[in-house]
Amino acid sequence: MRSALGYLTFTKLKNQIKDLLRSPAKLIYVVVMAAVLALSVMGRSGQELEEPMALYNLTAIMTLFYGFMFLMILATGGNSAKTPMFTLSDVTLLFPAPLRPNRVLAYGLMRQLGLSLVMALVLVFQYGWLKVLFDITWVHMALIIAGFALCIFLAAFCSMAVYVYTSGKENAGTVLRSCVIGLTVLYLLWMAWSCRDALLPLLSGSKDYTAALESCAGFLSRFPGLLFPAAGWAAGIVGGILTGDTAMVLISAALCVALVVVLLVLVITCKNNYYEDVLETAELAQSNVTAQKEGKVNEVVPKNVKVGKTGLHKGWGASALYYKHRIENRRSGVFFLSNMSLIFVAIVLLMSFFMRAAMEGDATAALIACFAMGTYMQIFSEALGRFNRELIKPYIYLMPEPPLKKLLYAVKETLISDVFEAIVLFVPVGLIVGAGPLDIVFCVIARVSFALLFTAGNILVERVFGTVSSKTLVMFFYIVVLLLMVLPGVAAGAALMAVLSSAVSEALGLAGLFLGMAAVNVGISVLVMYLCRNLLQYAELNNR
Amino acid sequence: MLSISGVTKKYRKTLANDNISFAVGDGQIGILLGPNGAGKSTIIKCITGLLRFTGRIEIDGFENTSLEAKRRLGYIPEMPAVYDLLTVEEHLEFIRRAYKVEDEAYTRQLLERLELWDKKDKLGKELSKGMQQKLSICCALCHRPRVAIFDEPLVGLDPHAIKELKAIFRELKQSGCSVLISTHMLDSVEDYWDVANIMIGGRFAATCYNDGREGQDLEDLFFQITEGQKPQGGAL
Repeated sequence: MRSALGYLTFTKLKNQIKDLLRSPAKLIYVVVMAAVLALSVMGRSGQELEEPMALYNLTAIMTLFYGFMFLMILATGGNSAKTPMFTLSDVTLLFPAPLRPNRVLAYGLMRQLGLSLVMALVLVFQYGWLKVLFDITWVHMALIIAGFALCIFLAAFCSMAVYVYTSGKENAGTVLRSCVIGLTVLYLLWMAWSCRDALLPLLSGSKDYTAALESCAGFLSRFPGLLFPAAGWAAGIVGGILTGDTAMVLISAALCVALVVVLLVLVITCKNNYYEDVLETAELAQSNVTAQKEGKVNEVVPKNVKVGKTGLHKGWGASALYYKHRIENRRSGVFFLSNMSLIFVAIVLLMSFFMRAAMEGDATAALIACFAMGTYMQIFSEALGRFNRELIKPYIYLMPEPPLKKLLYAVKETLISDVFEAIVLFVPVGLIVGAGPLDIVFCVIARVSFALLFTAGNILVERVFGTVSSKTLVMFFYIVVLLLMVLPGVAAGAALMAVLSSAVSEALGLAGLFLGMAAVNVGISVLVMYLCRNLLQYAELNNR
Repeated sequence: MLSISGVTKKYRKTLANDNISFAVGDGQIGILLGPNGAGKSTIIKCITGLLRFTGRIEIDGFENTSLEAKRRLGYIPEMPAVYDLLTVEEHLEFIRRAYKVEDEAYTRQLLERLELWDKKDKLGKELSKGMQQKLSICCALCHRPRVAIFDEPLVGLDPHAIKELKAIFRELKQSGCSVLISTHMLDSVEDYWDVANIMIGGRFAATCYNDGREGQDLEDLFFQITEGQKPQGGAL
């Protein structure tokens, strides 16, 4: 008879495949993803560079990307609520069972490895541009995915070991976190020191970014640059295979194996058992799974919330919603901008530096490129606004206030944050790329109009697709709806730019484009909000 | 007064509520009974306006989705609905402001009765499930509703809270409020129900009125009906 753990692993896998085949929503999702993948690959075919870039650059990109993901997983408590090593059913059924803890741990590790591989599959969508730049094959792509999976696995395992060691010790977590940040800073300083000859001229006004990038790529693609724990080693294995560097593969693989052994020893010998430590994560993961099944947006609430001043003190009727949102934002550590918005702002700011160099002084093109990137990211940040979280509680529907009034007060906080975000983002971006003040102002106005449009899109999706049980499909519809809603504004902006005479265009810069988009966006948003004004009266909230 | 006439609710092919009609008069306590999946929570969500339906539901003579009806309705959901980042007291302040109610004293009284006053500065996320349920009850009652709907209100409560909640049911009844309670804990409502509706498969299998006669055991009635036996005793 097969062992209990073997039976469990095999049966779960079998049932997952059956579930996929029986669920039309999941099948549609898989088919759409496959189509997107095919398009992304076919759309790029024939665009390959005559002389592909050297593969060591790819190793450098992997080191950076893997490193970023490794740190992200560690920072968020890698044995995280989204991909825990053990589910609550494992905890309640396996842990009390007469099975050796080490075998249960091995089962958890295998499960984590499988999950890491599935997560890493999203990299498949990068095949198109990697093929263009590096002329890679599908075998290379498979290796990059495997390396990423290994990195995620090691990060999750490290995080579990950290958790086991730090749980119950007050300052241990902070000390460890400081160590990780310190080591990362040291590594970056080391890189800066190693590449100083290429980097220093940039500080004195040189625009030779190519030399600086090549120097950094050189550091990141070979030892000692590959010594960054786990991420560098995973990149080293893949990079070594790609470039045919056997020594690099062997050293990196040995370091990975050594890390796994050390972590295993740490986890097994640290305490009598690790069960207690994973229980909390498993419970959290279960509540996330339940929330996801019920279409709820689970808020990431800080573990230690500083309550501060208590009481709403303002608001009467529907406006109480707005003042409640302000308190919730303050307690979740959001000062106008959420953490995700801050990350997106940082990415666009970073991009603006590259765009300034890439567009060779064409401020207009650089600003438009940054605006497009920022708007794409806005689709995702807007979905996490407090409005969507409010919809999962019954109070907003039960409040005896007109539905449109409730709707407007429910999105007020999001819209104010969006205005603030637009200013924080595009004033520095405009200055970096060298855009004129008028262009910056119009860019901010257009950004706010997109915020309004996406908020309206959220409302529309809730109104029309709120009853769809598959949340994956809802997300799919959300993106499709937003893309459709964006098109008229973009078309209007482009048309206005084309219609305006060159003299007017010269005087007003990008005014035609941005104002055209803004006017149409605002019009569509107001129309959608008006049409969906009864969202909060006739809700179809089976799971809420 | 809560009045439900010909309410039907379908989830695609599943008929969750099939032409349901009943009423809970002023100062009456109505009980909804039935096995899991009978459609009790669905009809409650229809009453509270969380689900669309066909038919008519009136709260004190107003259509259930009207502002007048919402002002008169208190709803305690099956799963406690609390905000993670608001303190206990802020929940009540939010509801008072949302419902434009100025009576703070009643809020404090409710919190004290359900032993939450000493936890008024605790965040929603710091409360146990039982305490969240108590807070949910306070939120639903602090604006003094004329119709109160309780969906499995006793689950997770400690004995003291159960005792207090039973006392609150009686007080609501005395004050003329219409109370509808969905529960599996038959013995908990045995001594104060006025009308009991037993649901099976989305329909009412029986409606019993408590006329104070001897031998009207709710538990016996429930098992007789749900297990397909002809009920003995009780006004059907």
